[in-house]
Amino acid sequence: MFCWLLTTAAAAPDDAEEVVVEGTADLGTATSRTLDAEAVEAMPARSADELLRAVPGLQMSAHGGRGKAFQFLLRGFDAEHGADFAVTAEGVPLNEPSNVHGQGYLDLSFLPVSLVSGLTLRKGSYAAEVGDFALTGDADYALGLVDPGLQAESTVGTDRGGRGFVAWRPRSGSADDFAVAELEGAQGVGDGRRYDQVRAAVGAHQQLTDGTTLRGAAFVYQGHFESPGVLRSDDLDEGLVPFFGAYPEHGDGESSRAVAFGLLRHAGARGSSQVLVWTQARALRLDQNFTGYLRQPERGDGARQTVQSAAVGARSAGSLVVPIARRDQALRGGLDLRGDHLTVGERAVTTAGVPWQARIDARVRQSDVAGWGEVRAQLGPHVSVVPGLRVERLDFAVSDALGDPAWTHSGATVPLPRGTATVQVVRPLTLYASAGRGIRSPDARGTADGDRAPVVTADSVEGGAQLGGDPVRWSTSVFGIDVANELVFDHLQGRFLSAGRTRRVGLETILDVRPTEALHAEVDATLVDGRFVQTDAPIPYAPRVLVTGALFAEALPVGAAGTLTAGARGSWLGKRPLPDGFASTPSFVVNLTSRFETRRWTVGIDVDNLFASRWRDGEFVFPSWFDRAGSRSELPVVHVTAGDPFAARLTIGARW
Amino acid sequence: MRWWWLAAAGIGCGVVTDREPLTLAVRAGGTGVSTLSPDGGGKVELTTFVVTFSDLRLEEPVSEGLTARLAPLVVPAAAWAHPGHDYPGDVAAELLGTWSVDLLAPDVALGEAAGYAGEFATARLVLGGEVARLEGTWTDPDGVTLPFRFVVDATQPITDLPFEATLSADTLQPVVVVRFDVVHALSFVDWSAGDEDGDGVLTEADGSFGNTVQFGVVSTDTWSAELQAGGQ
Repeated sequence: MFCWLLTTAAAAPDDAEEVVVEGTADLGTATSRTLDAEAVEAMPARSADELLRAVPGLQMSAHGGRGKAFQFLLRGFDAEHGADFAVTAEGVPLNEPSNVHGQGYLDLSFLPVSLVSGLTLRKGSYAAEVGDFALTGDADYALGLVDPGLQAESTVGTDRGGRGFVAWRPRSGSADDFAVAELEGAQGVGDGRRYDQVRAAVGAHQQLTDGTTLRGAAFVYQGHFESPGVLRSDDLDEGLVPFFGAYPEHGDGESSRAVAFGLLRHAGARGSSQVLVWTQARALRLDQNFTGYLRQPERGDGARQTVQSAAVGARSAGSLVVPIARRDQALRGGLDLRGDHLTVGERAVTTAGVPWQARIDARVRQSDVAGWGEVRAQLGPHVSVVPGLRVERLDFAVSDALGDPAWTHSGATVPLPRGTATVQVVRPLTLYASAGRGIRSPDARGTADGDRAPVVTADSVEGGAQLGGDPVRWSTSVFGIDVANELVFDHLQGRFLSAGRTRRVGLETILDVRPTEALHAEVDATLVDGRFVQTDAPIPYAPRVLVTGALFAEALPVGAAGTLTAGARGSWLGKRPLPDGFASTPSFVVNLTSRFETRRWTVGIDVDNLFASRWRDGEFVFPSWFDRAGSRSELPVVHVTAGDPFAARLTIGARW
Repeated sequence: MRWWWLAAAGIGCGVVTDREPLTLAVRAGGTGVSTLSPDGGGKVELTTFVVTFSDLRLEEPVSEGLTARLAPLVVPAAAWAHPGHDYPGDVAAELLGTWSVDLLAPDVALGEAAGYAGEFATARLVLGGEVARLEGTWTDPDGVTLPFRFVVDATQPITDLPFEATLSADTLQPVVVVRFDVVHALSFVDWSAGDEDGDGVLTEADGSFGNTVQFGVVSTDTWSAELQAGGQ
């Protein structure tokens, strides 16, 4: 609010309207990037989550069915369901702190992919405005309906599914004015993959004064999904279960979410400011059993996790351009507030889904207050530095109905120094250097009354270069990340254990070729080595080599009839270290999307797994016992979650 | 820092190796003893000694420090219901089944344990139901001979049997022998307790025989797991 007051008197034409342009400018690292609406449309993605695959080096694994959050693996981190990767939509934080299934749980199913008009993907935690969970990077979705008028689409697919979509944007309005409804579902290929989702969104904006706009939007979502779970690799090898099969004990889940925000934005000649107010409500149920009857030979090892939560927050930010030393220097600052109230539970359930033991039953209240500031200083015509500081204050209160129902309180204040430097050596060559400290808040249930909350911080350094521009641009970064004390949350005991220091070093490189404005080819490769410092053991699950190649056509004119927007994207994931000395199987998968559009009609074809490869999306090591007619083995074996099968979907749409 | 790794991985070498599978032949037997001379004098002659046990499991070293134990778990705030993020256990090889072994006969082959190459530290097995049956004669220091017949029922695991070994797929014909020490098993028996019920046979119903025989059979020191490499 301070920044708002500071700058409302000013006006900055350059900030008058946020214009998302595909590229990498001003994001602090060489391999950060933005996608514009056409790039988003050309990206093969069935959901808003899957657009994040545009992050070089990010491996996303779907081990829980369509509706459960993805697992994120990036820069040597197993970020689980979002613990180390922060995601916002128009600035609204979407990671869920203290979610019982995983810290920072990131379920983006409420976002209609058709409403994503841009995406900013940033690596590291080098910008002062970036808060909790951004140890490896962050992403911000720009939301808006690109095409005016009424539009409707219908999709059918070989995955025994379909989708209906209607959207309306007044012709006199902007992309911020919309009403969208979407219904989709599928039986899925194989067993245990049925899902259905319904989501809707409305948005509107109002120009209050010259340079001042008020915008609001609301989203609701409800989904139900089956979770095929895991399959033992030895069962697969022996043909006891089909690759797209599921054990009878597989799980399911229900998820609902409502998000609303209001955004007041002002732009003046010498600065800009904005105030964002948001609220969310959430309910999640997950029934899962990954070990069969290993622990409970009679009842089964099933667990039901539940979360009901509500959150409110506000973010204000402002910038002021000040002439210093005959150059315009920008001062930026902001204040972020959020409060969460959660009820979390876990119960052991029988294979029939009957609860028989309560393991977790807790209420959580927590708040996060952060202030930040940075100076965007131009030291010369070719050199800029952005020193910044963020200070985060976290407070937690927990009431454990199974233990001590009295509220326990803890907190922590964490200073997070950050900065970037950019040097344009010669016109086509720009060098980047960044350093910063990121933060991962603890699950509230791991805090102890009166103690300092066990916050994980990670120190990152990064150097990079960008060479060229259009039509050829090469970007590369070398990074190192040091986590002084990796804390592992003992989920059932509700306590943190120290796993010692971990360290990651890595290299990311991207080659962009854009022969014409509408055609775009890209190859990126990421190499990471992450290890425990004490033992030199590799960090399990985290990818070490990930190579992606893609071809995109973005609104390519096809005669006078219309335009083609299409993308084909293939990823090769090298062997990953798994626990207990195991290694994963390399995988290669290609996905395709294409849309041909005329003034009235749209025809789209999407293909998952173009070459129908039987790739292993997730691989995990542990013992299990699903076949009770057989012996109860305790030998750890690789368990597999099948990657998306081949599926093709046809979309027909019209607009008026 | 392993900067060299980046270059290696970059040309496709990679350094991620998978865990080697391993099979070990498993045999079991006694210590070749059928006649014992208790400390208090007299002589025990065994005509039958059969033990029954199940599920041999060979385990990795328990800990190289907390970090190593948590290495598979480095997932922030990992949930129970997330696959692979709870502790995978220590078992590195196992042979499942139930076997009755005649301790007075030569070693018998139980089968092949499947597992993984690496370091081993301990072994464990399971006792359940009738775990031992032994018969023979007891001759006291005065030369009086009485037959005995003991049946031992017990349900409990036998854990932490030392089994320190490093095995790779190249190890020549590794053989694990589960050995039952007859002398130790019967070392707790007070043979002078006598035939209390006067039925002419020493059984577990007589005096302390039931407790002491059972104590010896389920004693961890009675059991051992030995490695015989090279097909010895």
